[in-house]
Amino acid sequence: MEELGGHLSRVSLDELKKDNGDVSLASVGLFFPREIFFEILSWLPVKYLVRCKCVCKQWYKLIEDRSFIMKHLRRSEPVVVYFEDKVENLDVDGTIVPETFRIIHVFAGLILERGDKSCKYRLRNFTTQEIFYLPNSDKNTFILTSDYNLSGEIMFVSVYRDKHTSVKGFEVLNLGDDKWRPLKFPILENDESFQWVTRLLITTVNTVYYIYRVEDGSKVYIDVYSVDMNSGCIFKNTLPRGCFSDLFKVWLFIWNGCIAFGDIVEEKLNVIVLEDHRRNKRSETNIVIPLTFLKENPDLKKNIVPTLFDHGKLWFCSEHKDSDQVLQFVYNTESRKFTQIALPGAGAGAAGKRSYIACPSVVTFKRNAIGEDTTVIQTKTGPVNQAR
Amino acid sequence: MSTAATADASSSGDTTEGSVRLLTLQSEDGEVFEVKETIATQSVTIKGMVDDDCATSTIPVCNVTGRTLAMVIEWWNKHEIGAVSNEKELKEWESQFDTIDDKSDRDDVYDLLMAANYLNIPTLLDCCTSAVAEAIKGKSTDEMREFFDIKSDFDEKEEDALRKENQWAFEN
Repeated sequence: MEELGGHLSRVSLDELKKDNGDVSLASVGLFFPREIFFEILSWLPVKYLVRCKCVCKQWYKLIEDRSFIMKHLRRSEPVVVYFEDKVENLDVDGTIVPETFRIIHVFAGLILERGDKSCKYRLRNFTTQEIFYLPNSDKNTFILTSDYNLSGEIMFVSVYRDKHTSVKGFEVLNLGDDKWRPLKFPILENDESFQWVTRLLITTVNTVYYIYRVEDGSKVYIDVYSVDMNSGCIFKNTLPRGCFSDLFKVWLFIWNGCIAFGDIVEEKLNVIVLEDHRRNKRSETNIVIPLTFLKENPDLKKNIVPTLFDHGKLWFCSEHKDSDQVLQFVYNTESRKFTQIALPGAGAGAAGKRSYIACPSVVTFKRNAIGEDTTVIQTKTGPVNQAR
Repeated sequence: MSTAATADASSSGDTTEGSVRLLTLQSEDGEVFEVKETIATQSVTIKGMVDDDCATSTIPVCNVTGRTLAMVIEWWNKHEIGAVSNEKELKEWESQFDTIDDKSDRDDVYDLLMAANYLNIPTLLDCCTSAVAEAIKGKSTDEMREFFDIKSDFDEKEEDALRKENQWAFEN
């Protein structure tokens, strides 16, 4: 008789002991090992997880663990979050000033906000209300983005410019640092050596992408120049012809931190991901995602644009030409749940209430409050409109 | 929860050419089950053994009782690719795992959970762990400790500080 694999000792208590040196075994009476609790707790909403942190030290450490936060985020179903603009008191170098913060970027349970008057940036977990104020930069930031980098740390990238319009450079910041670091690499700007028709600058926390759609006689192709943030090296990739039936109907979006191209044909999203620009590596074959929700919502099909794939979820937007409304929707490719909301269109004005779809996250960071020392903005999670 | 063992290998119409290979599994308490290889390889552990050509004799599934193994095999049969054409039916069958209020249901789910972990069956593990998560949703910290038989190792001061810091999560 053969034994069923030696690794099955993973269910033993020895492992538990090893992983959690300071937790006495008596504190976990049941036979469940840590990995089972890991699985069970990762299904819970953030509010209950915060409660669970007070159950015992093992659970506390487990819920603070980065791999747990990521697992939970994958399972976290999107909710519709409503925000209301509110004037709050901000302490700027010893002077209290009234300030209103506006949302500039939403990612992974977190919200990046910018103060109207002070130009102060802050990161907020909209579920736990934890806030981190970013240190000031003396540069003229015009794009600021934030995400988890390849090692799972939260990072910020600022693209700054001079008084004119051209891109001057890039700065980066790790969450918790008190100083921005300049990135020293060449700026691709105003390259007139070839005839591009459309040009885009997209930055993630790992790479800066310059994307050119080039028309050369009857030929159309897409060139991607990727600037690696760690090395400053530039890599060029050309999207081969024939990948998509029509290069004018190809959407560009971020796919797990990389750049991706996709088109929607017959209720399917076809995707090519530039997984490793350094080795010119694209996803082996086209990734095909069946968009089953389109069968039930055929009216969405016309103007649907993929905008992001992150933590197992696909984000789309769709413009209603008649109603001045933008639909935002999220498709969970694992649970196949579908969430949608209607956002007020560009003409609806900036003030007042706004709503977003976002995934609650249990990610935590040390507060460095300079504002009011209480919960700052009223956030309510509302009912979620879910099909399936 | 149903425990009907349907470790049936021959009755289902084999559409594949030739004979389907059978694996012999033996539970901790000595019960022997014959299962189609195509079904049993839903277990990553067993698939690894088959791939390494280590599944030729009886495979002992220690830590799993015959009763639980029968439930696992029922799960495999229901989830064999192409076996269930009606997704709604499958969801209904799965919904029996949703409520684990009474103790015998809970014990069944715990046994299944440990078996799913041991045999590495991701779909079954997801189903059982989310059922347990559903059961503890909304419970207080004391109720959760009782549910899992956990003793708090925080001292009173630590726990008070933690609660104070996260007060919003304790309001209903």
